[in-house]
Amino acid sequence: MLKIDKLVVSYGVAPVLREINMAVPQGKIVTLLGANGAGKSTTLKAVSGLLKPLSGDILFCKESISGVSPEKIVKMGVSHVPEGRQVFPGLTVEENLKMGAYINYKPKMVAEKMAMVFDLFPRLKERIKQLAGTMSGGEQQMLAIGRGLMNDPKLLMLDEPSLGLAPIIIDGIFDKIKEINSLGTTILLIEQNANLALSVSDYAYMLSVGKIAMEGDTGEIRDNKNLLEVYLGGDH
Amino acid sequence: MSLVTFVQLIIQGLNMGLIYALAALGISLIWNATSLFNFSQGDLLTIGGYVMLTAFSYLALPYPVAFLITVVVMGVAGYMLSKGYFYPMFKQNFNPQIILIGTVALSIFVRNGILLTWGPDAQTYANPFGSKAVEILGVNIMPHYIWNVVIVAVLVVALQMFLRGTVIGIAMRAVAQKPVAASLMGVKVEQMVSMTFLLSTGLAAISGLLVAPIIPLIPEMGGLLAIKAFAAVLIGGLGSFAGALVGGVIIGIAEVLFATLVVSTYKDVFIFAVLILFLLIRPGGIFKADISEKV
Ligand SMILES: Nc1ncnc2c1ncn2[C@@H]1O[C@H](COP(=O)(O)OP(=O)(O)O)[C@@H](O)[C@H]1O
Ligand SMILES: [Mg+2]
Repeated sequence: MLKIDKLVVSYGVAPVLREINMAVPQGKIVTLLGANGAGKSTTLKAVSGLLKPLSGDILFCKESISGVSPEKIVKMGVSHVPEGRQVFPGLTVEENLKMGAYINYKPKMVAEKMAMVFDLFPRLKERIKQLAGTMSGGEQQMLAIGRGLMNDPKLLMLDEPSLGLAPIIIDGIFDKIKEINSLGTTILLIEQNANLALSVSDYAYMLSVGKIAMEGDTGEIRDNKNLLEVYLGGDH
Repeated sequence: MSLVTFVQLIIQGLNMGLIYALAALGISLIWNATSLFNFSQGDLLTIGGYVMLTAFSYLALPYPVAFLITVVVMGVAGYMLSKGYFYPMFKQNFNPQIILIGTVALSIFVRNGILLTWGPDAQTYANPFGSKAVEILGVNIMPHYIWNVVIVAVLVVALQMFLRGTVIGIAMRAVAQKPVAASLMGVKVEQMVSMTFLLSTGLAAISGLLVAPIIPLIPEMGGLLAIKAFAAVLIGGLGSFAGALVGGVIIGIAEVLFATLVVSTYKDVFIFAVLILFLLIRPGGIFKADISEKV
C-alpha cells in the first residue's frame, strides 16, 4: 500500500533521512522504531506532504505522492495523527471530529463516521460538547485517532500515541489500534516503546540516525534483544 | 444632569462603541489567525466610508444595495491584501516587525490614495434613517442609533453562526489554533487566512459606513478610530470575541461621558489613560482570551 524508496529529507543542509526504504503492505500494522531524534516523525511528515523530500520516492497505492500537497494526500486516504496529539484545543470534540472529515465533507457521511468513532471510543461521545483542550491526555489521544479516522483512511499513521500517557491508558489505546486494524485499516505506527509496539505489529523497522538499521517480522526483532538495546537504549 | 440626558449620552456612547467594536473584532480575528496586526485597518475603515459615499451619495443607490456593495468591495480588497501581501510574508517567515512596518507604509499609501481620489474636504451623506428623533419613554433617540444597534447585533449573531455552525467557520478557528494540524486535515491555511482578512476588512468597512453620518469623512480619520479600536481590543482581551465587543462599548461610553461631563478637548487623552489603567490592573484584558474564546 505504501512504499518508500530511497527517501532523503532535510530541514537544512544535513539530511535527516538518508535513503530509507520501507514498505507497508495492505491490512498490516507496521512499526517504525527508533530513539528520540532518529527521524521517525520526519518520515511521517514526508509521507503526509508536510515536508518535500530532497530525493527518492513515496508511492501510495502505486501512485507517487512525493512532494504532493497535504490536502491531496489526505484526500487519497492517508491520515496522519501527529506527535503530541495536536487536537484543536478550543474546538469541541464534535468540531474536532468534523475537521477530520473536512476534505470530503458530506453531512450524512460525517454522521456515520462519527457514530463509528463513538463505537470505538464511547468516552468521546460522553464528551461530545466539551472543549478538547480541557480533556485528559488519554482522551485527547482518543480524539486525535478518532479525528484521523473521520475521512475513512486507507492508511492511518500514528506518531507515538503512547507519549506521556499512563500505562493503563496506553494499553487501552493499543487495544483500539488493533481493533481499527482488524476493521480493515492499514496502520503505520511510530513508537519509542518497542515492547508495546511489537506487541501489536506484524513487521518492524528500526531507524537509527536517519538510516534503517534493521527490519524484520515482529518476532525476529523482538528476539534480538541486544540490538534493540543498542538502538533504543534502556530495558527492552 | 437629568437622568434623561444621562440615558441619551449612554445611548450615544453605545453607538460609537459598537462602531469601534466592529473594527476591534476584525483586529482580533486577524490576530488569532496570524499573530499580527494590520496597522492599515483604520484606513481600510476610511475607504469603506468613502466607497459608501460614492455608492449611496454620488451614485444614489438605495441604502441596502450601497451597503452590500461596500462590504463586498472591501471584503475582496481584504482578501487580495492577504493573498498579495500578508500571506506571502507570513509564509516566508518574515520577521513580524517587518510585516507590521509594511502595514504602516500601506496605511500612508492608502491615505494618500483616498486624498487623490476623493479630495481633502470633509464629506458626508444624509443620514439614511432620517434625522428626526423618536421619543421612547421620554428619551429622544436618533433613529440611526437604534438602527446601528440592530445592524451590529445582526452582524454579531451572523458571525457567530458562521464561525461555529459552518465547516468553513470551524476550519478558520482550527487554523487559528493549530495551523499544521489543520493542514493535515486538508484545510488550506492560506485560504483560511485570506478569508479572515476578508471578514476583518468587511467589518472595518461597516464601521466606516456607519460612522460617516456621525463623523464626516476625511482621508486621515481612520487613524484615530483604529487606535480606539486597538484600545478596545486590549481592554477587552486580545483575540477574544466578547472582549472586542465589551472593550468597544466601554471606550465609546467612557469617551462620550468624559467629553460631556469633563472636557471634550481631552477625550482622546482620557481614553488612553483608561487604556493604560486597564493595562496596569489587568494586562490580559477583561476577557483574557483563553482557548475557548479564541475566534
Ligand atoms: N523543524 C525542524 N527543523 C530542523 N531540524 C529538525 C526539525 N524537526 C526535526 N529536526 C531534526 O531532525 C531530526 C529528526 O527529528 P524527528 O523526525 O522529529 O525525530 P523523531 O521523531 O525520531 O524523534 C532531529 O535531529 C531533529 O533535531
Ligand atoms: Mg517524533
